[in-house]
Amino acid sequence: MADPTSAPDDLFAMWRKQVEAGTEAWIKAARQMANQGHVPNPPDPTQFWRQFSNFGPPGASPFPGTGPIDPEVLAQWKRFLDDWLAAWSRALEQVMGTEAFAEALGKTLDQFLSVQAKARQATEHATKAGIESLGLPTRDQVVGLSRQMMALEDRIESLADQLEALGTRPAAATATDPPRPRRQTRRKTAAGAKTPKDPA
Amino acid sequence: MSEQSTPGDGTARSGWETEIERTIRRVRNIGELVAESNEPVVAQSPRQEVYRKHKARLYRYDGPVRYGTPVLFVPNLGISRPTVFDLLPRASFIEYMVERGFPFYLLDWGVFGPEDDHLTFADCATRILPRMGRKLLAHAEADSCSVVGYCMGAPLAVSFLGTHPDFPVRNLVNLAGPIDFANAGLFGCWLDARYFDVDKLVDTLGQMPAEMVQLGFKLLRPTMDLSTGLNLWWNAWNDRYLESYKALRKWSSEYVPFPGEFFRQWVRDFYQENRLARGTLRLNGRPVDVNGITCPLLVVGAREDNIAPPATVQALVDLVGSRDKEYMELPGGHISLIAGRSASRDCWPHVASWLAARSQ
Repeated sequence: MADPTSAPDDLFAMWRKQVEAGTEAWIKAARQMANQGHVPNPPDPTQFWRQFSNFGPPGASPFPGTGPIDPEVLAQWKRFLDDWLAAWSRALEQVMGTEAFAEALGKTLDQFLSVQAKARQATEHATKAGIESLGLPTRDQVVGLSRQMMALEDRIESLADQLEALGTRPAAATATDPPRPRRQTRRKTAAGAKTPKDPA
Repeated sequence: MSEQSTPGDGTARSGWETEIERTIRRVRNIGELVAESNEPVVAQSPRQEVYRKHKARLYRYDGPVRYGTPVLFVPNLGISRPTVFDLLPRASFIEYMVERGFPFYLLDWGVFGPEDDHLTFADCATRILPRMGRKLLAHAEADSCSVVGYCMGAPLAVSFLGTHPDFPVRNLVNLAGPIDFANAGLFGCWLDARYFDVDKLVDTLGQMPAEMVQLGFKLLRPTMDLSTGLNLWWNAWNDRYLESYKALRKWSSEYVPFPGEFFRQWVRDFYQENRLARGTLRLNGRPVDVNGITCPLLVVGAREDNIAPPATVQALVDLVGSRDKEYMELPGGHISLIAGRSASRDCWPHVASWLAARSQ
């Protein structure tokens, strides 16, 4: 039985193969033409845009000079767009760094929270009723259980710490403290008879 | 290619050929990027879990050991996952440090749920971090360690060391960690107590949701998505660029919420009242004595960092009581200290050599 997920993969592989084959063909053709000297002058796709970009300050145009363009113009375009975005970013940063913006943002958040508080309350109430009617644990109960487990983990860890501390204490205690006298205990045998006292 | 060529010139022709080739590869690669369903594999450096406390994990990375002083790396809590520190092989801060022979331990704070809403900054600095430090020393069988804090991890580490002067710290490194919030950039402006009601937010939502964290960071640089798209198109012909892009995109799309009480304390004590720099911060009843930190200190700020502007980071140099201290400012933004070409060229080697000289 064919894997149902393989169909899109196959289509994608086929499409990729087509693109690669097409690329190869174009490059081959371009190289052949270049070798035979049949390449026409490169087109000037910026001719239309120059009339607009020349309005800017001197040197700011992404299309310097006239005539057929060098592929470097694309890198210039990229730099132009980078600078343009950076300029926008700086301008926006200035606006967003004002007290007026902070105040507006705070007010928007406040309004959102006011609506959210009521919506959450209503949703939680309805959800809780629905879940309880199904006999399932509510969100609060699951969270409470999780917190109890965390508290238990803390207590176990605290006990482990205390045990660890006790484990290291006797060595120090024997070095400094005098030996404590052993307490004598009376134990009863199974028959109820008293055990003989320890002669020591 | 930068030379102006004459019409019909061979340089221009071969330049256009290259450009056509690249454009076709761009189209093909972006098509693949859109169609591809496989997630890139990040955080590949081998490691073992040493200790866990609730959501937090302490990992030890496997590698050759040349230095006796282990490194405890404390990243930010919330916001994002620590995969950015181990993004890809040959592009990983952790791999870099491990290869240079540092016994490297990462504290992963984890992803928080509603059950963690009560976790505070104080809990992290005075309960979790000291325990992690002790477990690290026991595991590494070392009598001291270096602490490296990145972003929010730095104020957490400073607060931990400021409340535990008896902890045997050998060196402290602050990578883009804000300390003095007097001029904390756009976040400082937006979180101003006059406009931002942190109590209402936490009381209403319980936590600071990942979606709101994401919104805050997107707002910080609204043109970022356009820039990223433009750079993607420009570099999409380059397979290595695409690999890094995919890994970084995976990391940057995984936002992590803040526990509610942590966020409340973080905003109020740090952004609104600037208690750490003013010396008035108390955590679980203990004063945070930053001046009591006397170990060697390296502080690295990023010049275009709009999350932790350099001045907020540099302030630590004046606050500590250390005699051996250094501040270095590098070009780039917040992430460029920890991921990317400039990080591996400028930041990581300096951090490694600075630590190496003080870890014997």
